[in-house]
Amino acid sequence: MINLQNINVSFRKGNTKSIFGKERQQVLKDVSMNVEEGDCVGIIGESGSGKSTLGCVICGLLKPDSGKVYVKKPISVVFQDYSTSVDPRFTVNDIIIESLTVRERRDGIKLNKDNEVYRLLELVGLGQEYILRYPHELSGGQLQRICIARAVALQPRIILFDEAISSLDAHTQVQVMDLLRQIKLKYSLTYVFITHDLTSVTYLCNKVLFLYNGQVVETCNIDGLRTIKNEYAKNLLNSIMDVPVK
Amino acid sequence: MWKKLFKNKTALIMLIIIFATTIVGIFAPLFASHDPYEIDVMNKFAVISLEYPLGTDNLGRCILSRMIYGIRPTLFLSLMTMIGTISIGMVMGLLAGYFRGVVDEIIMRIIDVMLSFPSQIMIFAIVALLGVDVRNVIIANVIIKWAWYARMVRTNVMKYRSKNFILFSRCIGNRESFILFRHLLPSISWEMAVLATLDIGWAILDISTFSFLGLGVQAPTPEWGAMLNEAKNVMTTNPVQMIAPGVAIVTCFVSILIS
Ligand SMILES: Nc1ncnc2c1ncn2[C@@H]1O[C@H](COP(=O)(O)OP(=O)(O)O)[C@@H](O)[C@H]1O
Ligand SMILES: [Mg+2]
Repeated sequence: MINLQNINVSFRKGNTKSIFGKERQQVLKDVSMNVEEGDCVGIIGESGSGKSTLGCVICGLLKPDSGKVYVKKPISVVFQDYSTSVDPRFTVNDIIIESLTVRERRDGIKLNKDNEVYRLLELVGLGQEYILRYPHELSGGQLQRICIARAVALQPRIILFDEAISSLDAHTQVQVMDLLRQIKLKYSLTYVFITHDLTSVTYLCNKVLFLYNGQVVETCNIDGLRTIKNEYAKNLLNSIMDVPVK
Repeated sequence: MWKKLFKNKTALIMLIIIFATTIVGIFAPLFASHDPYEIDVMNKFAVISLEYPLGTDNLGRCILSRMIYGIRPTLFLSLMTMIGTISIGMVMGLLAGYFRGVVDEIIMRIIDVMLSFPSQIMIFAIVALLGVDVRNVIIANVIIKWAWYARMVRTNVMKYRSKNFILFSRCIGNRESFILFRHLLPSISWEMAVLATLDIGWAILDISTFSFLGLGVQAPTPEWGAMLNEAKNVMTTNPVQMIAPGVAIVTCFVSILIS
């Protein structure tokens, strides 16, 4: 489904416009990863470790300096910052219809859009009364559900979540994670789940990838967490969970 | 937005002034009591009366009627200026913000150069170069002002193109035209509109200034700046003639700036 080989990404350093601004900051170094159909891969790393950048590469929003990218289309994405994720001038209806239109064009079909919007809202646990609301009239959790609905509306093979639940409160996080689990089963999707929080990974994912300073330092299955060798990953595990790591 | 407006009394009053002025200007023949060109030398410098609510000028023309007809060129010309500046600024800004790289560098350098000139003096220079004519005043204004808009559009394009909702559209492979016309332009035009309304005040002032200096609208066409110019000639004998156009220009300018 996803296959990345030796990805390198760098950005120009600083914001200063200097003619000598050739200095570049390497954000991803030699990153390789492989995701099979039906997987849920967690990408874990502290902030600034290049997780979002890796996400952009996977979504095709960023071309790497070097390396091979293969990602099965269609792919959809849910971002952390739900407040800028949707156009503030769009109603919930417009937001979901944008995805539906893209799907219509892709598959060359005609959808009953009203029905689809109802169905998707129901899927994410929102009632019909939300259809004509604007983003600022929704709470964070509701808005993130809309973002999930519009990601699903595309009928993608893969959905990428970039810290999609991190900025929700704990109670909502659990609800949304349950929702994501259901959706994954229902549509047999593949997930890439970017986060800095291990608990959500253990809850959802079957594979984990540790990113540190732009490098993949450890890849393992979820039940292999206890046998991790890498120092950084160990520390991370120890600090977050009470799992004794040898 | 409308609620906010109704709370702000000054802005509302100013808006009503602008709106009323526009209406009166458009339907000038209905409101004006006299032909603005009708000369009646016997009746010059008439004081305020029922027949001539603002008196008559040095040629015996009804000042009120000339004021009312003068709204038309002022509004029309400033609108032309705004349309010209905004469209050029928009295109250049979009080009710079969209393609970045070399295109951006070139356009930005041009903008920097344009912005480094003192604008009033440049307008004079251009009018002097092209010849005295209203059209040239507009052209000069557009040449000087587009850079402001271009820079603002570019900044906004940069700001919005990395917003998540546009990234999402890109990611799911939506059309570039949808992103441009449904997401990007509506986001930008809101801020453009604010700047444009502020700027239309300046455009009116500019055109009046140039007409006053005899470089824009030519006598006997009624235009507030040009009328002020004519009044200036008889300032020592009949200073009252300056009041009406002067007050009108200031009121209009202030209304637009405040609202
Ligand atoms: N567009 C960009 N231009 C320059 N530097 C960037 C850009 N995007 C990210 N970076 C840099 O890349 C590094 C990794 O960022 P990011 O991938 O967002 O980390 P994470 O999502 O793990 O917190 C950061 O140091 C950041 O400063
Ligand atoms: Mg991030």
